[in-house]
Amino acid sequence: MKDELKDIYNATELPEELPGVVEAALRRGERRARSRRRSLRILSPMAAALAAFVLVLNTVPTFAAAMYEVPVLGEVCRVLTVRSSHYADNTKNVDIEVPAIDVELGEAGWAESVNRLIEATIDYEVAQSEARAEEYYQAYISTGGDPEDYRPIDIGVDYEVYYASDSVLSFAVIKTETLASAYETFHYYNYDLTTGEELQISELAGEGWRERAKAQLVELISGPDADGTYWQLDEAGLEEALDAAQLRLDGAGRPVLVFQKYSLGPGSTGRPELVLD
Amino acid sequence: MRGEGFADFVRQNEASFYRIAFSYVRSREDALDIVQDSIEKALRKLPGLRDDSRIKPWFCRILVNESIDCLRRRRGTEPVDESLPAADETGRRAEALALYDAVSKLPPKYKTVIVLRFFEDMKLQEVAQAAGCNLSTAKSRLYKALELLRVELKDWEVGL
Repeated sequence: MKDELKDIYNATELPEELPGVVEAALRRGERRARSRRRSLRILSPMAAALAAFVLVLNTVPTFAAAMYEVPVLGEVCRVLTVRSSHYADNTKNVDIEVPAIDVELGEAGWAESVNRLIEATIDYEVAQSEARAEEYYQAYISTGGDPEDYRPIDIGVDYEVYYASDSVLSFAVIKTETLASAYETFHYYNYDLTTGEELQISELAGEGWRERAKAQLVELISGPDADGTYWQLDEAGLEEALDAAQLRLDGAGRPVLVFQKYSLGPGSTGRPELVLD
Repeated sequence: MRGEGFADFVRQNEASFYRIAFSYVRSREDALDIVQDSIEKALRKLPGLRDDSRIKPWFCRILVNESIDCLRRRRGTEPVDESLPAADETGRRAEALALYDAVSKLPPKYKTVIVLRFFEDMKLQEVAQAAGCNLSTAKSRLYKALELLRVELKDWEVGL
């Protein structure tokens, strides 16, 4: 009987897009791991010194401000972990890496404002996730669930650096929550390092970018390579997807639109990206 | 393990991973989502894998957790049941189909040990690692699962 059961299990029909989904996930995961490694590599020549900085940053607030006055040769900007925390209870496992930017160019006091914004965003996101975790746990217990069988929800915050040059920086802070992959949230930060201004898509892609982006989007979802992967969107759907898209730079410094999950197709399409011409 | 080694491991086992996910959620789209999210999550956590020989139970733990999370999200909505085999068979085949149906309805912690031990031929120690419990708990879950399925123990080699 065991063999017959196994035969039925093995006869589960495999979707033909499975290899494509796997390859796409490997590419996305590897890209994310690479950008994480890149941000660490920026740190590596000074790892020991920075380790001490991080330790002090975590404990002595006044040192944090002073740190930005320390001259660092050969690098205009770095993204570094200033706080790393891990804690857990019966409702959640939390794993947070808080990044900060360190700019050595002109009047870079704006970096502190960005760092405060990053920290506030992370605090807000984690608080939201923790409240959801608590709510879910209480709902589980009040409906007769056994606390012993409860699996705490994982909450993680990490970051990726996409592009860093002498004048431009693009990175993201990412929160993941295993309660639902839809709760993965990306906050992108794209800055002109010389002015401290946030980069606008029209500056990067030129005037008329929206019409060009829409044409590229139509090509992506309806072109010969789409092969039914995406939904067929009407004009309103295209506009809505463009409105909700986020901006980042790729490794060559080109602007990239990142579309929200489920805005162009089913969950297996992930968060499609479009490098703007 | 480096990224290339992990990619080869995933490609070689992608069918198994899809079947495991599908055995929980019984939805093609959800199972594809779970495989995809598990791969991305595993790549993020890969530097923490100290022993390459434990890659399968390590990855299966992520996969099973993602599958259970998907069921958790779905709680309160209509169950999806895309492709349970038709029950118009007779004799031994019909009995097997009924039992397979019973496996699919087991609570997740019992289903995990049945699917990984008997369908994926993993050792009980690996099943325990994938389920995030110790060996004796895995063993007791396995016996309890078989009891719930009301099968004759002599037909099932529990093994270690």
